[in-house]
Amino acid sequence: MSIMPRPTITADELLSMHEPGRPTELVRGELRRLSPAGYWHGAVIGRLAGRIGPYASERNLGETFGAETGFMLARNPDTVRAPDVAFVRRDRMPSEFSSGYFPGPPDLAVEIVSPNDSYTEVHEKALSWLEHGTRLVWVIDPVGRRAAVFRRSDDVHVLGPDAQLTGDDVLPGFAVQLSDLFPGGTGTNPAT
Amino acid sequence: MSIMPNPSITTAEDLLSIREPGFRHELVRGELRRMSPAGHWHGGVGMVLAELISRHVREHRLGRAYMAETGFVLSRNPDTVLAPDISFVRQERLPRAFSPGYFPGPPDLAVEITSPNDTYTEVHEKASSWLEHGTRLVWVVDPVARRATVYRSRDDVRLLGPDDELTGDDVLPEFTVPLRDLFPGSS
Repeated sequence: MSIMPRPTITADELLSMHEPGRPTELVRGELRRLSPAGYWHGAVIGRLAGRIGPYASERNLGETFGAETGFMLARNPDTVRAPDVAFVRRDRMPSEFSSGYFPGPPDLAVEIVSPNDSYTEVHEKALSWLEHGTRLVWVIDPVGRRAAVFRRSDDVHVLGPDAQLTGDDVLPGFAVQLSDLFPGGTGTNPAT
Repeated sequence: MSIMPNPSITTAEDLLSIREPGFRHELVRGELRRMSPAGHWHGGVGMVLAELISRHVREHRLGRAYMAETGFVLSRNPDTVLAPDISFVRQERLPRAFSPGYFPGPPDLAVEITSPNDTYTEVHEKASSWLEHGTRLVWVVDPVARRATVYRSRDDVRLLGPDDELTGDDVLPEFTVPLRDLFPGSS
């Protein structure tokens, strides 16, 4: 029995695709299309990026990236994934412009959970960041009003709305209360 | 899991009286939740693990293991009754005489087997609920990804891969099973 390999896509081919409104990732050469996020999800991204960005740039710590920025995690087959918010520390930033994806993992990757995201895929993506070298992964669930902080697969903490997300050694001194990231501040859960 | 508004079912006693064959129900802060029967892959993995736990519990006289659909009353006013896929209560917490209702409190071990459509939010909420109400060990087994998540407290959560072992720690002493042994097609 022979198995016909599916044609794999490379990072360069992914970069040249133009499909407005359809964020796409590449996992071991296979395309994964993501739906545009709901507005609630987008608002959380805005709030968090709005905290991390100024904090990092004022202290010259590194660069903050918005959603849909591709990070090249592996080659042959290629894996390019896009977190909702990312941070790369200064000494890992290329000094000159290049047009491709970031060549490596971010130091911090943040995923905002959408209501339909499955448990399997959220954990798979968090692990994928860790396995490729990301040092801190935040999974933020605006509906459950919780977050999970992953440092390693055997070092995961669950935070409630009153707890603080802290930058640890990745973003030293950075802290934000989880409930401040949700639209409406300490307001009620939109899903109930 | 779908949320079904039903203003007439708000307490653990109301829940116990529901007759709707083929569906499982839970009550979360007085709100009824109806769950569809699980797929065969889910059920098969749950059965293998339930059998191992049940045998271990009986051989070591540790307490009692419970099958899916056993209700545990986690809080009152409003009432929350959850039903894990597999659970265990240690000997000293078992009631001495028969009573017809749900177990009055959390299990010591709660096991959830995830289905492909289970959302992150609902699985995570359920695992957190067990912990917050006193369950000492929660295993979330994901047969699709062939992984498991072990929750011992909010600050002690671990993700296991197929080569790792589930261990009972101080809740089910000496219990251990390689995760891959739970999944079909594993050797």
